[in-house]
Amino acid sequence: MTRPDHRRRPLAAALAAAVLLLAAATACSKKDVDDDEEAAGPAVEAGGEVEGCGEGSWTDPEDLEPDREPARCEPGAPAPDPLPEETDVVITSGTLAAEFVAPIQVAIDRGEFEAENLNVTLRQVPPSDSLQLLGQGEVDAVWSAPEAGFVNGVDSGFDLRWVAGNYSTPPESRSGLWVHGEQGEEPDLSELEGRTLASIVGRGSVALYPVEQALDEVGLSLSDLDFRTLPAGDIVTAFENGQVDAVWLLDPLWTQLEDDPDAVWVAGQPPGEPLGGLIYGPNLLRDRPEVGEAFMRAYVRTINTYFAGDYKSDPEFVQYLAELIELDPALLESTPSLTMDWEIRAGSTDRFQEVFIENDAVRIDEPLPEDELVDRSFYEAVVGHTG
Amino acid sequence: MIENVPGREERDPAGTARRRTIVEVSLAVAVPVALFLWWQLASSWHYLDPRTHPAPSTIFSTAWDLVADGDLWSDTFVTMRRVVLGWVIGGASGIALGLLMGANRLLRKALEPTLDALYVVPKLALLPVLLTIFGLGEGPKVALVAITVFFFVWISTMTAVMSVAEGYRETGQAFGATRRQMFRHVLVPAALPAMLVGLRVAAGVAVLVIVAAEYIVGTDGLGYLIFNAHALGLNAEMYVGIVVVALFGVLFAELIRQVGRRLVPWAPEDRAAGRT
Repeated sequence: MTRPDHRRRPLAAALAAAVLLLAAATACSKKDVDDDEEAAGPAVEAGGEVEGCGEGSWTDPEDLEPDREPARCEPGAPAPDPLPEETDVVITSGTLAAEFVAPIQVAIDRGEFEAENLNVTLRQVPPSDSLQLLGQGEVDAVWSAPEAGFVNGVDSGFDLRWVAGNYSTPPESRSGLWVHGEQGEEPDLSELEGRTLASIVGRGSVALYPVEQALDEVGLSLSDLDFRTLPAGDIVTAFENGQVDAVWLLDPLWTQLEDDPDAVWVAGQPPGEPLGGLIYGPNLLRDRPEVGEAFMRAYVRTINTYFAGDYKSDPEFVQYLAELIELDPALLESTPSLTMDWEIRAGSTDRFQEVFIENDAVRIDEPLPEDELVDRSFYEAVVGHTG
Repeated sequence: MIENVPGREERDPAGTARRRTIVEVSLAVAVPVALFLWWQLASSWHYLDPRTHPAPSTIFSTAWDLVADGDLWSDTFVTMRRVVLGWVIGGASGIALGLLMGANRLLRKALEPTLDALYVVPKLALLPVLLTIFGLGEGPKVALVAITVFFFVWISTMTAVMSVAEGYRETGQAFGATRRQMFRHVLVPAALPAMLVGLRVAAGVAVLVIVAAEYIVGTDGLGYLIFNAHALGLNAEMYVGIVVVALFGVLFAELIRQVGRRLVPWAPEDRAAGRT
């Protein structure tokens, strides 16, 4: 009688498991594709005129003029329209100690969200994590930018929309691209070919869009440079020591180079074009759009009330802001007021995506259509724009 | 009367050892296969969100694309080079100082407090310092791996030398061994098994450290691949990087173990393996 070969049983089990694995992989691959969601249209509709928000409360998205006046209502407008019951909203930001987060912080501190019956919690979460949490409905909104991660998220099936802008930098700001050179002389950017460019943000950041624009003027692109990401604490030192040849610096880092005779500012954020802002996920886009509208109303009202103009001309407000966002008042005063702007320009996402595609930061060959990435209906509804 | 009937292990030691090896290898293969199977099904049936945790089949096809593009090879090669270089430098200096400090009490008393203090400093915290010393090239990353490996190997080597049984030393002295012969024929062979364990543990930690360093100041390497993919929301690519790092860590540690087995056949683990 032949005894069964027990030695082969474990191997056979392992092989059977491997076969099952492959079979399951084949059978299940279609299911993933079927789960892609169809692009949805605008989430909300305007209900009519809104008191305090007249003609200047909306500008044509096609207007890309650098001197365009940002949309504004009267201070205190649009008036609160509280939800029937208190509603919790969780919003995240990559950083809390930054001036561009001030409108959200002020809206919380001055009770603008409370007036809408919203209980808003602002949490610090890295943008890459927050977008995934947003897509899964774990958080309701993200204060960030439509970066490559956002485009890849939408492309992979997450229901995300950029619903409001944040700010553009004023002409006197020197936030942007700095290179070595003598003050007052026009640097030759074509000399940057093969040199090192450093930024605190990665290849998937919208900040690279203006860099690409500046390089494009001399026939270069980012792929012609050695791009590096460096920590905020090291980037200025690396530039001053000559370890990098160019840097992209945001507020307030650039102020460290302002008096450096060997540093020249070359280009900044395009005037009048916000590169970031508010991103909603499925909770506020589809499940509770009225909550998304209430949040937007509070945000727009906060800009009209506290950030409509040169808000840093009031020393008391600067002091208040500095304490609220935990920044040194002197540092806050060293940069000009941002031009807060809740609107989104037409074609911004196309231009961002072209840079992402060029820099291999997204896995698409053509830009996704704007209506799959942008929804202006929330801010248009709260200012009563029906056009 | 007590009758001692030999068991199967005694009647057929070679067959028993073979069967045990087969069972152990099967288990080592079956556990990760079962894990991947569960992952595949959980992702496909949406117990896991396939957008954030792609199925193994998606990860495999993404890895295939990355290999075809050449990106995965170059990132893997860059990380391997940094780890191996740092491991060799850190391991060699750790062994040298560990042997010297283990054998020389005065040197130990002089250096141990300082090295102990440096040992507890999180090695990643040294990266900014290394950046200012070595610049932005390969220097800071290789140095970081070398420093990390050094401490693991130094401690295990020094402890091993200090723990060499008094009987070994006395035997050496009884044979009239000189200081050099004692070092060469008694202390080093007795300490080698523990040194190799230190080198193997350090290999795993070296991989951990390089991944973190490549994330902070990288433009290439598996750490950069993982964290850049995460920042870009490319989760399948991120998982490819994680899987490759895990495979690299396992293979690197196994390579060191196998080399150690051949170099130090008297190590306890290998004697045990030999008995089966």
